[in-house]
Amino acid sequence: MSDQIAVVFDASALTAYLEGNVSVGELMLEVGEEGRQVAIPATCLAAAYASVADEIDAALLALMIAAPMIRLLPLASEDVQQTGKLARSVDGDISFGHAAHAALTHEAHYATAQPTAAAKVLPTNWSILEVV
Amino acid sequence: MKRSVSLPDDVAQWLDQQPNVSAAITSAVRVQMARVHLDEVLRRAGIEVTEAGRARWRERLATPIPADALAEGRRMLGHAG
Repeated sequence: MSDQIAVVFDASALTAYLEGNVSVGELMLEVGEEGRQVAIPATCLAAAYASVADEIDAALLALMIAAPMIRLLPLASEDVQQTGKLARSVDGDISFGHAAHAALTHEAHYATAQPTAAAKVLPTNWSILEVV
Repeated sequence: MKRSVSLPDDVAQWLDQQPNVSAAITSAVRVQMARVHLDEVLRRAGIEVTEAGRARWRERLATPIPADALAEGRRMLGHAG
């Protein structure tokens, strides 16, 4: 690992958390106890907010990103082009491109509930943690 | 800020072996603070974690990303190496 970010959560991992997915919680807990961080790209968080059913889910997301091991990653201007390029392989879904860019930059595991789509934006053999 | 606390013998002995006692205490307390916060986050989301599940992730997190994948990732980002 190149830094303290151990895992990047994509939008589907955030949605899984809202659905009460146990493995998402277990992964967060394990990363936190290792003293490392879970990165959440800002576009993934925006996509998750766009998909929430009600304000309770929105509040749960807000609570999650306030957890100490969570690091919210903005989409920097210098990363916009590569993020867009990565997203081409998933029908232009920017959140996948941003999550993949973050995983590559930080050499971190990629957590998702959509491993098939994630594999399209990542190098062959990249570490994809499927939250099921 | 200085604090005076009473410690069990085993904790005191462990602290005596640390190169920086203040840093060791701060680190341990911060881990506990994070744990309490996260437990609350997960409880509100209706998530009950299991040791077996955590052990599965512990193993996966300890598995390095293959060198060929890292090299391909650096190439995709336009970095050498």
